[in-house]
Amino acid sequence: MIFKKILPSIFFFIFLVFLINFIAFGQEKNSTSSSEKEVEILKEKIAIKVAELRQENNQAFSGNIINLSENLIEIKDKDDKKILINLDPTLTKYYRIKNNQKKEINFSDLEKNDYIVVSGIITDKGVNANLIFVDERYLVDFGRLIEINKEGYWLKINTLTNENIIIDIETNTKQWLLNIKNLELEKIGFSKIKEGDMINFVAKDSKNESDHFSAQKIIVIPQEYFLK
Amino acid sequence: MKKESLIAVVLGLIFGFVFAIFIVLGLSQNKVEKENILVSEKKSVTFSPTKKLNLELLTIDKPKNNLIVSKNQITIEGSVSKDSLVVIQSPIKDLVFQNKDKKFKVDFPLALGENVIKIVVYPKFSNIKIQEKTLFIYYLPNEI
Repeated sequence: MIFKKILPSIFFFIFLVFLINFIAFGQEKNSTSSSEKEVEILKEKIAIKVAELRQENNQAFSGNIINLSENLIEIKDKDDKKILINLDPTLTKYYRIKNNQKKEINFSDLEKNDYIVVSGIITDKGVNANLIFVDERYLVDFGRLIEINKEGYWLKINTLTNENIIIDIETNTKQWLLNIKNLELEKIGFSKIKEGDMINFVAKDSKNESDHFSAQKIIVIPQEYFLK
Repeated sequence: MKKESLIAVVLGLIFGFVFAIFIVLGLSQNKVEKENILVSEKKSVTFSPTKKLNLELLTIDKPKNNLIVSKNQITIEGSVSKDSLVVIQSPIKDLVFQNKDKKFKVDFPLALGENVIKIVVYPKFSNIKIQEKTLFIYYLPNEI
């Protein structure tokens, strides 16, 4: 009889204990997940800040290799300025760019006179390189055409700095002429080019055996455009 | 000749001489004034141009030179004189257009690595000097 009277109280007590435990567990889980969220947000903020700092401090340099040793490269840039590149065997990565694709290479693949693009942080002792890309150097320039050689298929161009540059027109050189009526570019042949025209050109920045540059493409602005 | 007659002749000569000097001086002053007016008229013609040429130097607002980017395209923004012929050339792209306004804004693709982009402006008037700027932009997707 007494047991029957006590039994609901026992059940009620057990239920109460479960309820308290359940609430306590729920609160603990909530506090754990909120602290995890805070950590994640903090991590993201740090990552963004690091990326921003890297972006601010990172600079790009390019030039031809003139000296090559184990942890150091010396390059000469387009203005003939020498730059020291410090290499880190564990951090610095090397790539070769060809046909707009990059392929990872090793330090041992680098050679003297290679044209490289270096990204890294500048210090008092040079540039601490993160990435080194072996790339191709291009000459992009323009000037007035002062001489045409129809036998040798070359053009002598007088640039804005009064320098005379000779470019070879190869079979694969893309030749474009500005149509002065509709300002569209039209494909042309060598015979359409005249002395006095303005030539905008792209060539590989290394001279061939004839001491000429090999043109990749040219845009001809006919002299008639300026007589309008 | 009587003494009185001699005095009258001398006085007449003096008056005549003084009168002649006044006339000569007056004439020469008029001449100088006229010349001055002519010179000033000429000057005003020389230094007041009737037509004003609005010349704008080539400026590139975006992007900065030697920029490292992680996308294979940039937007080039700048300004030049109205109706100039603008040629933008790189190893992978050529753009030729005549800008109707001073400002221009064009999207330009980038190749992996170093991009040498030459911007040449041929002004509408052939007596104005051709202008150019070269941008070195680095597309290094791993870097950022």
